[in-house]
Amino acid sequence: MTQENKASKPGPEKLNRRDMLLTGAGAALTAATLTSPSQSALAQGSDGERRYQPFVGLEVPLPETFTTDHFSDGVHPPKMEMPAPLTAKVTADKPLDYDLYWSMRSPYSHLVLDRILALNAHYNVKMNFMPTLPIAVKSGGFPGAPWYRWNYDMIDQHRVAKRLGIPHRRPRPEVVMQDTWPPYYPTLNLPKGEANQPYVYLVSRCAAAARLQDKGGEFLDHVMHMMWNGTVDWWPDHLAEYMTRAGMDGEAVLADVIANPKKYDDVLDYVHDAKSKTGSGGVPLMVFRGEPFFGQDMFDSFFWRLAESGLTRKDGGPLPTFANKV
Amino acid sequence: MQNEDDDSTVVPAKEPNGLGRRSLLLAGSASLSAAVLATGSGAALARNVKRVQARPGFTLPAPKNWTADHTNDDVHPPIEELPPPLGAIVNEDNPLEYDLFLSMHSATGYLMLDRLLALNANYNVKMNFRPVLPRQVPNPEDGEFPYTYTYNVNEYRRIAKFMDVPFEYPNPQVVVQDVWPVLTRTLDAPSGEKKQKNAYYISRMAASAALRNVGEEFLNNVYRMIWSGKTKDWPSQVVAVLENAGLDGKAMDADVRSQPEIYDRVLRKNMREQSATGHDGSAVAAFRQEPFPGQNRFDQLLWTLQRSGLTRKSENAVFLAAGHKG
Repeated sequence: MTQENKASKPGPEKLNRRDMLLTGAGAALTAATLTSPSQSALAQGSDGERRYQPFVGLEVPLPETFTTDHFSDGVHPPKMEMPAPLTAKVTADKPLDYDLYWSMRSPYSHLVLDRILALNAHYNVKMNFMPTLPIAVKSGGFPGAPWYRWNYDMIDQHRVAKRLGIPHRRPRPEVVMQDTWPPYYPTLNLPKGEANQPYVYLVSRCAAAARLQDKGGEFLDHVMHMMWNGTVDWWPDHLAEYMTRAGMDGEAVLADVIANPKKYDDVLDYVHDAKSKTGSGGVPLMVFRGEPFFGQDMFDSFFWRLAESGLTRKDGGPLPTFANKV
Repeated sequence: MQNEDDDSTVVPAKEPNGLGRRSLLLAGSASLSAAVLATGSGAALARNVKRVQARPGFTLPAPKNWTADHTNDDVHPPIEELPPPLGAIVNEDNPLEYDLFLSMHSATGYLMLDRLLALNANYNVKMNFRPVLPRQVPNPEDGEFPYTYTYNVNEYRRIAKFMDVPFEYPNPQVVVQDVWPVLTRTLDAPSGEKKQKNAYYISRMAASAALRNVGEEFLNNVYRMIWSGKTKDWPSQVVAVLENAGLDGKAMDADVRSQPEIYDRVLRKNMREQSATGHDGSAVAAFRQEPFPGQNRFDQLLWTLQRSGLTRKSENAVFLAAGHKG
């Protein structure tokens, strides 16, 4: 395998960074890096000007989020210490609030779904359903993912599903049109815009409708399961029926989503803005008191944080114990 | 761009390429693509049109790897079916072998260190320690999502608290990288041995440990020292820690300095073999070439070993409690 492709990468940001490393200014920068990697001199040129060398897609400065507030590199203390746990009694009237950022096209969202529904059903929590439109359908893809990401996610999601005993099959049709096959030619190109991505806009707007009607949990229980558990072969045909099962008027929702898309796009835009403040861009994303927990494999940590702040069961029973030491 | 007719040892049967398919999508043939997705055959699409797009940094075709061979998107049949579990009796004479591809720069590897050591101590397994150079060092331009690094640092600290494991980022850094101040950091890591002395040194020492078959002792003493936050200036302590552990630290150090090419060869071989699993992450366990990246996938590794007949060592059966979910 040769590395020729790397030399032909486009993009002014990358060229600038390489130029800076190769020029005298860059050499001074890296020498400073060597001797004291954490000095603020790193981000300044010899004339005191702030130097930014962002890589593709990175805007600096970063937005301030929970994760930047609490970031420590082991040399400098964080801007803020982690907040102390809550101490008020947690009851059905005073539950713990959390946000759930979600994408209907996310396999890992499907794999955390049963745990989220069980949490909502048995514990004194209140879920704030935050459906997202995958940002990739607006931008045409994300440049950051490594070459093996898609293939590995296919292996991993089925493996997790099998281990956890979750019936799991990718939706038919695929929610997002993307060039993902064959495995040795990972272009991952994604035609952008609504005209090229009818399915994801449709179902994301329906999810926005569920948020507006405060039926997020029911919507997920019926519609997300239907799309991802392998029981139907053409999910758009079943969308109205399953929204009705969720307690919404499925036909009316579909009609309104088609007639008034902006109403639902406004919801999706709101969710996108809120998500950008959390410090994580992925889904599924649980957020408790501003702290993000990204991915189905972070569910345990999320539950642990809720327990730290006094989580209680609806039936008053004991919480499950964690065995977290070898 | 590579000529995709090259290297038939790598390329499996050719499939219709993304360019043809994307044109069809854009031409409003949503029904065609839906039919393709539903049937999975791709027979309706144009053949023999060269795929010329590649995402920045990707080579086409990707190197031969287990993940691409077995990936299953629930639309196309995989290139190869998943292998059935092993059926032989597993005991001390016939342990299950697994590889640990590990960079000394890996926080997530450290967070699963105790679990790996407990697995090795209590079960009939044989771990092959396969140290690698941190990927940032030869290829500093690989990108990632803008929020990922900051989020990951927070998450690793949280996991360490959840697992009750002493943890702190090493000072000096294993890989010299611009990570502070958090809002304007560039994540740039200068490449090459001169600018990454510590990364090359410690990776070569790890390779030396692997060649001497003392990988576990190295991990338990040196890797732990780097990441547990109790040692100032860890590079100066490596030899002493090895000597205290009963290993010939001075000889390892002398040989690494006088004959680095021997160890670089080990590291490069390990990196090639790691890519052949289909995941280039900083800490990847692999069983029968199937990758399990990061401490989040330790459970999956254990479950997969169990499905191939994993047995406890008869004398010191201790129930593994750490981090197991469900």
